[in-house]
Amino acid sequence: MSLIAGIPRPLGRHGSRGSASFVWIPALIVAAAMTIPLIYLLVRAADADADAWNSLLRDSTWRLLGNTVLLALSVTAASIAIALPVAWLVVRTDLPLRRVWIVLAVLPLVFPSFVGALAYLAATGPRGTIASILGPLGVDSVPQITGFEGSFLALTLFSYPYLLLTLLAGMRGIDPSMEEASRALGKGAWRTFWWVVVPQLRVPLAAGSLLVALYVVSDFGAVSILRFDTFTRAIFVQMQSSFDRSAAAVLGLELVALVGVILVVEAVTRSRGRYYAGGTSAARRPRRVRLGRWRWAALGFLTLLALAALVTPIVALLDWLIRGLQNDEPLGELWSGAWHSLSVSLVAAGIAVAAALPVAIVAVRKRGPVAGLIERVSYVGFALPGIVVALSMVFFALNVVPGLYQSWTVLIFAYLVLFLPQSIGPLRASLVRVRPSIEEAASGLGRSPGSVLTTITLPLIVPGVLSGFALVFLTTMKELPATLLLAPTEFDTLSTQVWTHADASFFARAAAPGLLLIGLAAIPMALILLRERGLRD
Amino acid sequence: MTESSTPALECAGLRKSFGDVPAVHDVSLEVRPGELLALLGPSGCGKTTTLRLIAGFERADAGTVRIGGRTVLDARNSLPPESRRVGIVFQDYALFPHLSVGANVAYGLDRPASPQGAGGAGSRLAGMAHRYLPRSPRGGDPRVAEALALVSLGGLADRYPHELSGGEAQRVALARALAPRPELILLDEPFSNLDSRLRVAVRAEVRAILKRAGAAAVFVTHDQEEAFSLADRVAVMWEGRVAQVGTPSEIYRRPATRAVAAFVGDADFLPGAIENGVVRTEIGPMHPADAAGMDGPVEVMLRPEAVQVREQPPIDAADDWVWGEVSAHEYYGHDQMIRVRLRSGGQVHARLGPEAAHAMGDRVWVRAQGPVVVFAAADD
Repeated sequence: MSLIAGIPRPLGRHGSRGSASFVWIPALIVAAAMTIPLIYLLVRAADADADAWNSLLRDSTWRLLGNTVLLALSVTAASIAIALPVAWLVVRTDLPLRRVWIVLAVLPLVFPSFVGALAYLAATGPRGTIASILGPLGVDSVPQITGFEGSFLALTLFSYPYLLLTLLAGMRGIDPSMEEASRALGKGAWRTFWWVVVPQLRVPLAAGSLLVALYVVSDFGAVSILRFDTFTRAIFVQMQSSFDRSAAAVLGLELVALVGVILVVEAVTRSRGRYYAGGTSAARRPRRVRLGRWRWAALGFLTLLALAALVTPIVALLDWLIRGLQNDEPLGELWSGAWHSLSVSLVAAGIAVAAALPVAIVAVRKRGPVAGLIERVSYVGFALPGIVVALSMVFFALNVVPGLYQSWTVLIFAYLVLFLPQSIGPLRASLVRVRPSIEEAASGLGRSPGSVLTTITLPLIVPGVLSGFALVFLTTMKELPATLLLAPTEFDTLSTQVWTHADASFFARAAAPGLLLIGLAAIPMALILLRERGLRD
Repeated sequence: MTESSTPALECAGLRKSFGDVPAVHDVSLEVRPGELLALLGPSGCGKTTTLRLIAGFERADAGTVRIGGRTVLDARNSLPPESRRVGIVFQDYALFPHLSVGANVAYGLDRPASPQGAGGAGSRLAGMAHRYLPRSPRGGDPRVAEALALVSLGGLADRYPHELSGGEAQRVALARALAPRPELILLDEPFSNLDSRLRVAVRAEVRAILKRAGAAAVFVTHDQEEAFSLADRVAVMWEGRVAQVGTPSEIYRRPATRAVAAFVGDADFLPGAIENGVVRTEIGPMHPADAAGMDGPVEVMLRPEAVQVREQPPIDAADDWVWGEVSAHEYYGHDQMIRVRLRSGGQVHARLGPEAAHAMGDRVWVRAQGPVVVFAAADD
C-alpha cells in the first residue's frame, strides 16, 4: 500500500479543462499561417506547364538529386566519424583538459555555412592565407577548394558540432548501473560497450545525423559560394535568371520530398530505438577509461580538428580583413548592414515569441487531435529549407499581396515560418516545468483563466520566453536565402553582404561583415547552446 | 463556517468516465459545517477524481454539487473552479514559486491592494491591476497576517516557497486556502510528500488548524491510519463508488462489505455457517454482531485483536480453543503479529503484546473473542 503512494501521478492526466478561447484562437491562426508556404508551393507547382514537370525527368534534375544526396550522405558519415570519437574521448576517458576540448570541439558551430565557405575560399588557392603563411617554408600554392570537395569540407567541419551535441547529451544520459550490471553478468569491457552502450546511443546518433543531413540538404550559403550544384543553388539560379519560375517551384517540391524522406528514415530509426530512450540523467558518473599512451594520439586528433575547424577559418578571415584595411576597403556599409541585421532580427524574434506562446500553451496543456495538429503544423518550418520558404513567399507576395512584395512584412513572415519551432522549444520546456496544479491552485483561489495566465504562468516561464527570443534573434541574424530573396532592395544585412562579396570573390570585403556576424550572432548563440545542452562536466 | 445547519457540501449522483473507463460512479456525499471527512480508498478507486469534480477541475458526466447550499453543478450549469469558493490544498502544495509567502496567501483575496478607494475608476483600475499584473503591490490585508498566524507562521510572510521546509510549505498552502474563508477546504493526499516522522506531527497540526478555523474539509488519502486519526467521518471508496460512510470506529468495527473490511486494517476471513443466531466455524462458535436475516454459509471477519492465543491446552475440554501451529511471526516493538496455521490448512492472525514469545512451529491454542462481523458467503 505505502509502496503505491510513492508513485507520482502522471503529469497531465488532469488539466485539460474548459476551452480558453484566447489561447485557442491565436494558436489556430498561427498554425494556419504556418501552412501558407507549403500550400502555396503546391498551388504554384500545380500551375506549372508540362515542360516544367517534364524537367523532373531530365538528366540535369537527376544530377541535382545525385549531388544533393551524395553531399548529405558524405557529410553525415564524416560528421559521425568525427563526433563519435570526440564524444567518447571527452565523456568516457581520462583525456586531459576535457572541458577545454569540449568547448573547442563544439565551437565551430559559430560559423554560418556561408562564412565557413568564405573562410576556406580565402584560406586556399595561390593567394590564400595558407599559401602566404607557409610561403617561407616553400609551399607557395595550395589548390583552391571549391565544388564538391569544398562543400564537403566546409559543411562537415561546421555541422558536425550539431551531432556532437546530441551525442554528448546521449552519452551523459546513459545510466552507469546498466554497464555495471553487464560487467557483473560476466561481460568484459569491450562487449559491454558494444552490447550496452552503443545500442543506447542509437537514438541520439539518429537524431544528430538527421540534424546534419537536414542542415546539408537545406544549406544554400556554402554550396552557392563554392559553386556546387545542389537543389538549393539550382532553385536560386532559376529564380534569378529565368522567367519561368514554375520550374523553381517544381524543384522546390522535390527538395521538400527529399527532406520528407530523411524525416521518415529518422522516425523509423527512432521508433525502433524507443526502448533505449529511458534514463535521462545518470545519477553517477561512469568510470573513465585510461588512455595511457593513446592519449597522444587523441590529443593529436583533437588538435588537428581545432586547427581545421576553428584556427584556419578565423586566421583566414582576419588575414583578409587586414589585407582589406591595408587596401582602404570602405567599412561604411558595415554599419548599415549591422543595423539592418539587428533591427530585423529583433522584430522577428519578438513576433516569433508572441506567436509561439499560444501554440506552446495548447501543445503542453491541451489534449485532443486539434491540439496535436496545431503543434505538428507549427514545426513545419523545421522541415522546410529556407530557400523553399523564400521561393514560396515570393510567389505568394507577387500573386496575392503584390503591395507587400519585397517588404519587411513578407520577410518577417518568412522568418516566422522558419524559426517558430526554435521559439516554441524553450517555451514548451519551461511550460512543462510549471505543474498544472499551480495553475489549478490559482483558479481555485478565484482567478479567471486570463488572470491565471498573466499572474502565474507568464512570470514562471520568463526564462523560456527569453531564451526563445534570443535563439530566434541570433538565428535570424545568420539567415541567408530568405533574406536574399525577400529583403527590400537596398536592404543589405551582414549575411547578404558576406554572400554578395564572397560570390564575387571580393574576400577582403566579405571578411569584415563575416567576422562581425560571428561576433554578434554566432558566439552568443554558441554560449546559449553550450549552456542549454548541459555541457558542464 | 457559519453556524447554520446547511451542509458545507452535498454531492449527489456524481459520475465521471475517462473515455470508456468509469472513474466515479454515482457518488453521493454530505459534509456538515466544520466537519472533516476523509475519502479513503486504494489508488485508482476514484477518490481524487471525486475531489476534482467537486473543485470543478474535471467536468462531471452527471450529478449535482452544492457547496454551502449554493448549487455549483447540476444538469444545466457547471461553475468554473474560480467561482466555486472552495479552498484547495494540493498534494505538491502548488505554492506559486515566484511569489513570497505573504503574496501567496494574499493571492486569493478579492480586495485590491489600494487603500479604501471608495468606488470610481481608480479603484476599478486597482482591481484590474490586482487581477492581471504579476505582482500587484500588496497592501497589508489584515487577512494575510491572520491566516499566517492561524498556521503559526506569522514571521514567514517575506520568505519564498523554496526557502520553506516541507511542513512549512504544507501550512502555507493551508493558510492560502483558508484566507478567502471558503465554504469548504479540499485536500488531495495532503501528507504524502512528508516523511513518515513529520507526517504524524503535521497531521495533528492540520487537524487543529482546521478545527480552529471551523472549516469543513474533505481530504483524500489512501492511508487508513491517516484517515482515522484526522477525520470525523470516513467515506471508503471502492471501484468508483462510496462503499461506506461512518466514523472511524464504525468503519473498522462494522465494515459494510468484505472489500471494506479487507482494505481497512488486517482481517482474516473464515468460512462458517449460521445456525440459530450462532456462527459455527473451525475455531469454535461465535456471536455475530449483526446477522439479521442471514442463514447458512457465511464468511466471518476476524481482526487480529479479536484472536486470543494461549500456549497451554485448555484445562476444560469444553472450552472452545482449537490448536494450530505458528507459521509466521513479525515483531514490531509495541506489538507483534503471529500467523497460526489451523489443522484444516486455514489460517488466522493474532496481535499480541510485546512480551509474548512464540517461535515458528510452536503449537498454540486460539479462539475468537467478542462479537464478529459476518458476510454472506457470496458477498463480493
